[in-house]
Amino acid sequence: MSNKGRTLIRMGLLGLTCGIILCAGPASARFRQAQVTIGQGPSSVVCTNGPSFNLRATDGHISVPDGNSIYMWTFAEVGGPFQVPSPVLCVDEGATVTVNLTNELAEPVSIIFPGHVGVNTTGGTPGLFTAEAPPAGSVTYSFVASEPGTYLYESGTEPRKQIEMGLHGALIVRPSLGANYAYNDAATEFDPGREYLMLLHDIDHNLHQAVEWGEPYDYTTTRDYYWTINGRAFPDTLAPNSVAWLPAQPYSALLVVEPYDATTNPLPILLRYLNAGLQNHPFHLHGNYTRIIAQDGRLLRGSGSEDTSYQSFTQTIGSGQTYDVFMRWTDVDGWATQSTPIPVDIPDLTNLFFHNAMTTWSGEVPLGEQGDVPVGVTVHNICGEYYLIAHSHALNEIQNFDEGMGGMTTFLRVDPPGGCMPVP
Amino acid sequence: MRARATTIIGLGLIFAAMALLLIAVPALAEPQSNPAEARQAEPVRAAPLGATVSVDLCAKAGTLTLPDSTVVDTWGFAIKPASVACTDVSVQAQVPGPLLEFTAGDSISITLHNALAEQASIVFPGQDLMPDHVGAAPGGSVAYSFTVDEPGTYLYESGTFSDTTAAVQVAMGLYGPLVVRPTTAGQAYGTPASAYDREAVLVLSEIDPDLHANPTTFNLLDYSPQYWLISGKAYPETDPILALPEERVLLRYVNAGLWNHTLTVLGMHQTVIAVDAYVKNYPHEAVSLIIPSGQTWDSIATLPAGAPFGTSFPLYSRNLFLSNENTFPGGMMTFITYDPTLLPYRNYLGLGM
Ligand SMILES: [Cu+2]
Ligand SMILES: [Cu+2]
Repeated sequence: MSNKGRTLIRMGLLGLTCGIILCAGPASARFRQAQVTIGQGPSSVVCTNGPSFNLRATDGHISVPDGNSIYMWTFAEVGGPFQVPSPVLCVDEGATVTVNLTNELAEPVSIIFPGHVGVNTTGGTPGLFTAEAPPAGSVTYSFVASEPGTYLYESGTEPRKQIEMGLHGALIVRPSLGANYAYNDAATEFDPGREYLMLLHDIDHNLHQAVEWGEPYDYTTTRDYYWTINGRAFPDTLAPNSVAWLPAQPYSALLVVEPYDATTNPLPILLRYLNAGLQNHPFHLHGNYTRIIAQDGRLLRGSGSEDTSYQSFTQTIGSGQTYDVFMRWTDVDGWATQSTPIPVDIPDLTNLFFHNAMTTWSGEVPLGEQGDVPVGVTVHNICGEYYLIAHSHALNEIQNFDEGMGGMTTFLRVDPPGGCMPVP
Repeated sequence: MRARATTIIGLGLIFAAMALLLIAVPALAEPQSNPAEARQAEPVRAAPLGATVSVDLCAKAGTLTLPDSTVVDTWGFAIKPASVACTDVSVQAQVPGPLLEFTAGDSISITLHNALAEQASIVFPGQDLMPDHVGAAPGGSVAYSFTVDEPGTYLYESGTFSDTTAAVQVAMGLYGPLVVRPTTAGQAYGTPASAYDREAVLVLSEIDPDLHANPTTFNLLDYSPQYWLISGKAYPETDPILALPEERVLLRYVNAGLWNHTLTVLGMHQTVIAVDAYVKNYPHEAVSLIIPSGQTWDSIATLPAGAPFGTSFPLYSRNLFLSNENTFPGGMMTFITYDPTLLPYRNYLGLGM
């Protein structure tokens, strides 16, 4: 689906079928990012700051857009709510990270920190990969966050079960150069208001149901039915952070970019991909190539500091991998919302069915052009902003229990220069 | 000065020898004071460079016993001793096939003796010869001659397809690793970036018992693996990779399976130095590597200093194929382990062929 026209058509169809949930995300995102700090955007990464963390392994339910709810396990903050995914742990390079884990589940749990050296454990009981917290018990992990970057943390206890159940999260180590850099390299400066978490996961709800009900599950028959970004399945991925109707899924996956401008908007947005799932996921954004600057917490540089970052359209995010990715949207057509709207083929109105006032269609939503909006159809487009799909290109994964579209899908929202201001 | 030695995982022939060595080590545990000197004592190939190396392989039926005592029928390669017929009971099919090991510049002559009940052949991806998809009839033989010019990690496998067996011969076990060493010892590719102290060949594959029970009728569309192997073994029977702190362990991944596999090492990064025996100009570090079906990847994992002896670093399928059938733990998992009984330098364990 790299064809623009096809995507627009698809969005029109999507609008016809999705109704209020899809449309509430962009519509409520009325904001202007003037002076931003890290994480300030309504869909930017939300940090839980360390370097000491008190986590509890616990259980609860998430909701998926088809109305189902799924039993999950997670690492939640002690004193904080159940949430999926587990909190994004943010620390500064060089800090000694301490994670106290208490176990509210009925079986041993643990945390491993892939990519980190010399993780010390205190307490707990010996496990296959690391020390574990027994039921009602605890264990402490500590290590020095010696290298900046994006990392997973996840269960090291029966990982086939526990990681899928949700015992995983993201760990961000900020470089000493500054929090608006991805690494200790001046070329890794990013737009600090536009830093995004892209934590991928795949779910066979039959496992979750079996665990919830204490029934057996045959891992050799696994078949995934749900795919999530930041614990949400599309179209929930579009809603801002911490919306009331997703109480256990606080992290948005809506990507926002403004057209590149050497003077007024020179910095790329940063996407931090992590694949906590069991499957490898080929993922792409429509609208431009992305630049892969790092993998698994290591900046792509040659032994002589050569820049070995590379452009990629579809990037396969392997299981257990992380990628740090820069993205710019370059307006080669001199797009202006009113005077030179992005051209689009408007489908024949007579071919469309308008369900109710919440119906959206491609004549009015994301196209930078206001078409003939039928009477009674609510306009959701705020400022002529432009939406591009971003999704797993394993296309079976962009659905919720065999219903498309859904799953591992989100949007890249291109705002007019200066931000999204309502059209007068 | 780093010790240089080699640990080979994945060669059925040497497992017994390795076990013997480990048992014998405490008695020998006088560390070599001069690894460089010891380096020169490392047995090199008996044949001079550029020599003609002849290998006789059998393709024959065998069995593989999995950790839960499940036994599956296999087809595998085996070294054919001179004057012993492939059908002799002393010749046992191996999964994976024996490590074929050469030095760059060697002229290779491999003769396959087919003791299977159907046509069999070998293809050598990455080597300079026409792929053979015909091979030898049952009871017959076929010869392959080529020169190994480029060092690296390669796969060899059945090239035979037929109306009845499709590509099941590889899944049945007719695959193995092939390593071409550069003339510079202690390096994978004759480059400083490829220098290593120990090495492990990790042949990745899967077992669907239904395929092994009915190879001639099995429909590969129904392929549903139940066991996940590193060098023909599933955890807990996989071989540990033994090394010392700060040593560079060369991991030669060879994916002979039908599926792609993503492999993770905990406690360190691994540096990717080559893919499909093609040296990367700019090695990169990673925790987790996607090893597609049919590819080989070489990475070097440098073990961190300071951890106590006995520390084990998991190396496992991050697709989490960590069960034998439905029983955890199992599957595609092993450990890199600090072994206090290791000499700083240990001789390379050769093929014994
Ligand atoms: Cu596409
Ligand atoms: Cu697409």
